[in-house]
Amino acid sequence: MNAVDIFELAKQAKKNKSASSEDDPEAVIKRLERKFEREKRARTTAEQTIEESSRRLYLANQALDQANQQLEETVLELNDAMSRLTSAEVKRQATTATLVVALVLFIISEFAIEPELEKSIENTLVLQVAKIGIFSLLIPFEIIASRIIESGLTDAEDINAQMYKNLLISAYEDGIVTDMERAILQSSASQLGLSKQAAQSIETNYLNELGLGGTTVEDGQQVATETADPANVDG
Amino acid sequence: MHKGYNLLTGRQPMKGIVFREFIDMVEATFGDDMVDTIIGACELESGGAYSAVGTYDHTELVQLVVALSGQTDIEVNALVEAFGTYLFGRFLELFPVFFNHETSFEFLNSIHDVVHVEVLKLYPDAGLPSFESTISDDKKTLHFEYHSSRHFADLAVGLMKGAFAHWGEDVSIDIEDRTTGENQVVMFTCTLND
Repeated sequence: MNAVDIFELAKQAKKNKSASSEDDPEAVIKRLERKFEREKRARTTAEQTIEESSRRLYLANQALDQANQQLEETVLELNDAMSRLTSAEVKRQATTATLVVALVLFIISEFAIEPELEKSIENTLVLQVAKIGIFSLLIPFEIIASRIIESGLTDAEDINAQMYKNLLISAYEDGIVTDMERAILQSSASQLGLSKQAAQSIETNYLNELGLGGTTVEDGQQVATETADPANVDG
Repeated sequence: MHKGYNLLTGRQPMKGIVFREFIDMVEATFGDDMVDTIIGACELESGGAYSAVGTYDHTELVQLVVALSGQTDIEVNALVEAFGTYLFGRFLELFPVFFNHETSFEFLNSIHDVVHVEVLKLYPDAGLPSFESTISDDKKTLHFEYHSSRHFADLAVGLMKGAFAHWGEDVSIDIEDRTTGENQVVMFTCTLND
């Protein structure tokens, strides 16, 4: 089955009907004027359509940007919450360990040392004083023990620094630290017991790792580029 | 219900590119004069000012074809089919990326799942006809069912013939009208001749 060529069809048709108003110059001008009007109208609608589409695209893009930023903030908040939970857990472990040490010391003094004292000292007053003396002698042991346990168990500072670094990683993930992200970082630093200088040095180290050394990202200018002026896009 | 059908107005948008190509074809074959004459003979909401990025009511195309038929004494069906073949050639020029198939059957088989999906990505409001197609195991027969509310099956025939010519294949088309409701349903059985 062969395809019908429109040019072949046209040739046959032209035999049937001869062209009409070709020769009259005024008619030709009128015809060309109408064609010109049609072309102009078509161009205008085309421009409007494109204008509308680019506006739609711009708005869709804006909405995506916003959703993205909200997601980033959520990630940061989640990280923050996680670090708080972790440090709370560490503290809980340390407290438990300290209580165990205190209990052991109490048992030693109550069942090993005190019966001996009661045997050798008859005067009750002296006995009480001696008991208190021994008890207070034990207090430094308890403190030292809890210190050792706490540092051994947690290496609290290292962990906190690591947590702060995790927050930094998620804040810098898109290359920009927004005002919101900066605020979360600051509150997290104080939550984690990091001094301003400590937080700053962790950040500097991290930026050096990224190969961005020395260019601590300024909030203002980055935010300005992130929320670009709509006029530029539309214009 | 057809995609792109407007419940309020009953209007079915058709991509402006089809109108543009039609006008260009008439201009190239019958001349400027003919374009002006047929547009003048029809009552077109768009005034005959078509842009490829716009969408227009498909009945405007029907009006234009009928007017062209009236002017040239060529039957409407023949005109629509010839336009389909012309359109295939134009699509081939404009969007070559869709035509990298080994055979015309493979190409036709890809229209509904690949080509139309891509078109809808770019133009969500494009009202496209739907096709159900299957290729027989020996790859010699293609069943191609056309569903459309626009009754442009002749256009589909023209496009198919354009495809067969492009791939240099000798194919017979058997056409069976299966329309029962409002939408036109046509089953094309295409057989590859050795």
